[in-house]
Amino acid sequence: MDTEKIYNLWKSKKSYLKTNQNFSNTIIKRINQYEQKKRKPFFDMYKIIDFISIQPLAQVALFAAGAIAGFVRLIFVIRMVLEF
Amino acid sequence: MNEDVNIIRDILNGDIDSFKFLVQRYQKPVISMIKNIINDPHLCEDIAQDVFFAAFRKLKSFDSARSSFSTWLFTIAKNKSLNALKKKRILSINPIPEKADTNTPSENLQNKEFFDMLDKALYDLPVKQKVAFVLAEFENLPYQEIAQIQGVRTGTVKSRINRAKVKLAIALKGLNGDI
Repeated sequence: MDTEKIYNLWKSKKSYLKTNQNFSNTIIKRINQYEQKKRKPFFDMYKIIDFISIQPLAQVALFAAGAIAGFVRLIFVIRMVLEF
Repeated sequence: MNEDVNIIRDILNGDIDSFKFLVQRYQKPVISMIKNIINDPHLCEDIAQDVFFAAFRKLKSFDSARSSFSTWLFTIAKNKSLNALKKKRILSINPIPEKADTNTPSENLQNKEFFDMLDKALYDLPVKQKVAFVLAEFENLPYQEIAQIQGVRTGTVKSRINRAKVKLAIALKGLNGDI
């Protein structure tokens, strides 16, 4: 067979490509996920509640913080009453 | 292409779905280019996805006065392909799905031998020659655009393609002589 014919056949074989029908959809989906992630606020209340409900240490810390805040407030009120 | 610039303007104004038009327009040449550079049909779509994703993320930095969108996109594709080549060290020849043709079985067998030889010669080419050759011969890009993608002068691109063609011709003649 003619060398040029072989070369051209090879070239057409190399240029042939069957692409995945969903290729563009997959990229758009990935981009939308990326954009959503970018727009998410730094302070996410639901994430914090999820974290506290899973982590026992976080629950202890939250309880301790509540107890301290309550104790400080109690002292503050007692001092106000005594001063009055 | 002016149309590309208009689409890019829409995307930058928040119409993300317009990016799909660019993907649909360029997915075939980008995947084909990556496939012919890294020679891994399974990996090429993943890399192509990374190329388009990176293009979306960097879209603000695209300057239509400096180059066309296709040149810019092919530059990203070239860099990603070369990174993948370095990372994975894809040096072995993997089978590439072939187009069904109407030749007789004996012709097919003979052609396959030629094609395998040309494939091997292509994958043995130095990376810069291979990229220039693939862009010129398979993607039909003009030398000037290839020069922009490779960041060299047009003369350098011509010489890279000529050297690649000489190597392929030697491989083809070698096999032709055996038959």
